[in-house]
Amino acid sequence: MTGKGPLMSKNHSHPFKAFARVLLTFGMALFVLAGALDLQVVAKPRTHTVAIRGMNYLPPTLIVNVGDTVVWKNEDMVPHTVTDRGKSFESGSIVSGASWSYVANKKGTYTYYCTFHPNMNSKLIVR
Amino acid sequence: MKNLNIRLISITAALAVVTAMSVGAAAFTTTYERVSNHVVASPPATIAAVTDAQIAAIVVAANAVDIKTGELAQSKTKNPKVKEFADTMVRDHTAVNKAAVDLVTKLGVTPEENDTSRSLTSNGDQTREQLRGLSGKEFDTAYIDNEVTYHELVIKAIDDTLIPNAQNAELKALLIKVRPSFVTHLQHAERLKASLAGKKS
Repeated sequence: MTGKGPLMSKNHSHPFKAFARVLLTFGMALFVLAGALDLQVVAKPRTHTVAIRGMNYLPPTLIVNVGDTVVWKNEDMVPHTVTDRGKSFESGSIVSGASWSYVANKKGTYTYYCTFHPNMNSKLIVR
Repeated sequence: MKNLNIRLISITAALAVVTAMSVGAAAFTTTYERVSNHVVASPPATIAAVTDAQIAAIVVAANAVDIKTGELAQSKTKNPKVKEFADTMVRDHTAVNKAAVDLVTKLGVTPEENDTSRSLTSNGDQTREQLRGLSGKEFDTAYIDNEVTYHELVIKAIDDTLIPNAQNAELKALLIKVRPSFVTHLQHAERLKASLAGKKS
């Protein structure tokens, strides 16, 4: 009996180690999956604000991710527009104190301006 | 020749505004000389007070003049760029006047007519009378030339007279806030002026 002890113990240890390896692999897979889920949480859509102030768009260049929302708030006394030169978006008149928002659904670099004041220019980069 | 007359009237009108500020409203003493075709101003020697009520009247009159001149241009010009500019002048100066009137109403200030505000109004009337007699490119050139001169003088008045003399903090803040829009209008008018000068009639 005693002679079989180590043998039995060895026989028992193999399935245990295999099971442990499966558990470890499964755990790592879970860890990686959780990481991936975490990444998705970090990349959830955000809202960015551009101030229209002193006849400027501030910041002059804004970089956002696909799905983000951009809000332009007119802090000037006079009306403005947010008009893409490539015609992807057009706010119409934004009066003093009002805002206009746009969901950036397509990657690209958009140069926009104010149709009322053509020397007001800015850039939106969607990546 | 008509264009030249309009330009001379514009400069005369502008000088009258500044003169009114220095004499009528006793804002400051400034000497202006016309050397060839340039207006040369020396720095203000003394600055006296213009009241907030007088400043309010000057702001309202200055905006009203450009709204009326812009409305005339909207009805007369055939040039799309000049029409867009006139649309912007009417839209922006109407918005500024509304903000100014809303503020003085809130502050309980009654705009007080003075030599400067009266001069702005009467010179605006004279300029429009001259512009009515013009048409086509002659009208466009005269209108835009007048807008360049008008905005240069208004910006100078804001910097030298209105902002330094405004007593109420909210009125001063309004003047500071509105200044960039006048600078943008001037730049827009200067670009149009260059564009019109480059085009064949």
